[in-house]
Amino acid sequence: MKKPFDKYIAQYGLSLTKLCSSLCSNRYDAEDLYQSTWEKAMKKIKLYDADKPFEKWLFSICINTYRDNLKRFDRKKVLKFSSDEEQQRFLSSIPDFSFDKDEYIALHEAMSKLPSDLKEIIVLYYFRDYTLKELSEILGIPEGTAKSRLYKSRDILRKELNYE
Amino acid sequence: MNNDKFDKMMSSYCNREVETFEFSEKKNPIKRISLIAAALVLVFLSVIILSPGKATSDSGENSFTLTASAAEVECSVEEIFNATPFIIEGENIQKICAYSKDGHTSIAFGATKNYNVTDKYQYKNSPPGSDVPDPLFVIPYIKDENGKLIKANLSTEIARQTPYTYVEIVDENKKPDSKHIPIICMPINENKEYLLPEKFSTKYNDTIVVEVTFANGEKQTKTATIVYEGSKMKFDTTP
Repeated sequence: MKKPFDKYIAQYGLSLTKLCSSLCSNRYDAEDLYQSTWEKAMKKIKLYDADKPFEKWLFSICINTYRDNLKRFDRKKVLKFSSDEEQQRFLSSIPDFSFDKDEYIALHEAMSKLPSDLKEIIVLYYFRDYTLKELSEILGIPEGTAKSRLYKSRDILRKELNYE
Repeated sequence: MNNDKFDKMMSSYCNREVETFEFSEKKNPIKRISLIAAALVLVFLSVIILSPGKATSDSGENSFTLTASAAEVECSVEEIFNATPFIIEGENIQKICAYSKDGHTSIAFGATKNYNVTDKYQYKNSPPGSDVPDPLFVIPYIKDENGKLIKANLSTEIARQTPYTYVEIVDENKKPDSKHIPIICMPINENKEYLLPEKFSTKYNDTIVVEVTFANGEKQTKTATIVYEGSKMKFDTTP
C-alpha cells in the first residue's frame, strides 16, 4: 500500500497542497486538510477506478473532507491572517503579482467569507479550468447546480472587490 | 474592473506557489492499541482528584504537580482563551499526555521555551478508548512572557487537540528544564463545538487526565475535574 502511495504523493502532493491552501483560510487548516485527504485516499484506494484521473478522485476526497470539517474551518474565518509573517508568506506565494497587494489581501478575506459550497467550486474552476461537467463530478452535484454556484460565487466576489 | 482582470487575479490566487506539505502516516496501530490499553489502566488507577489545591507525586525522585488556578473562574468571551485552569510543574519531565475523559473539553498545552510540542501531526493519534481520530480544534492563543494573550504559532508553540486525543510535549534532543506548563481548557458541546461563556447554559462535567512520563521512563498520572456551568468554569473535587 505504501509504495504506490509514495508515487501518488510525489505526483499529486503539490496540486493537493495548492487546493487545500485555497480552500482554507490559513496554513494550519490547509495542512490538516492535506493530511486528512491523503489518509482517506489511502483507506479508499481500492475504490479508485484506475481508468479515471487520479487527481480528480483525490480532489473529490479533499472536498468531502473539507465539508466534513466545515464547523472547524468556519469558526476561524474571522481570524484571517494570524500574523504578519503569514500575510507576507501569502503575498509572496502569488505567482503573477500584477495587482496591488491590498487587492490580494481583500480577495483572500473575501474568499474566507464565501460560503463553503461557493468557495469549493470557484477554487476548482480557477485552479484547473475544469468544465462544468468535471466540476459537477468532483463536487457530486448536478451540472446546473454547478453552473449557478459558479455564477453566484463570481458575482459575490466581484461585488466584494468592486470588480463590477 | 473587467472580467479579465478578475479572472487573472482569481487564477493567481488559486495557483499560489506553495511548498508541498509533508504527509506523515498515522502511528503504528500497535502503539495505538497499547496507548489505549495504557489509558484504560490509568483511568482505572486514577485516584488523585485535584482541585483548588495541589496534587503531588506519591513517591520516588520524579514528581510533578497539577495545580488548579482557582476554585472557579468567571469567564467572558474575551477571557475564555485566557483561562488557564491547570498548571503542570515538575522536574525531569519528558512527555506529557492529557485528554478529556468525558469529551466535553478541548485541551491544549501552552508551551514554554524549553518544550517543543511534538510533530504537528501527533494530535492525529487515536484517542484513548475512542475511535474518533479526526482533529477538530485549534486554539491559536497562548500567553507571552508578560501574560499577554497572543496568537500562537501552532506548529511549534501549542498543540492541536481534540477532546479525545492526547497531546505530547517532547524534546528528543535535550531534557527540558522548564517547570511550568499551563493547560488550556475550552468547553465544547456534544457537537464538538466551542461553548463560549454566554452559552454555558448546559452543565457539563468533565475529567481531565494528565499523564507525565519522566526521563527514566516512569509514568505518573493525575486527574482533575472541571464543571462548566453558567459562565463559570469550576474546578471541582468531585470525580
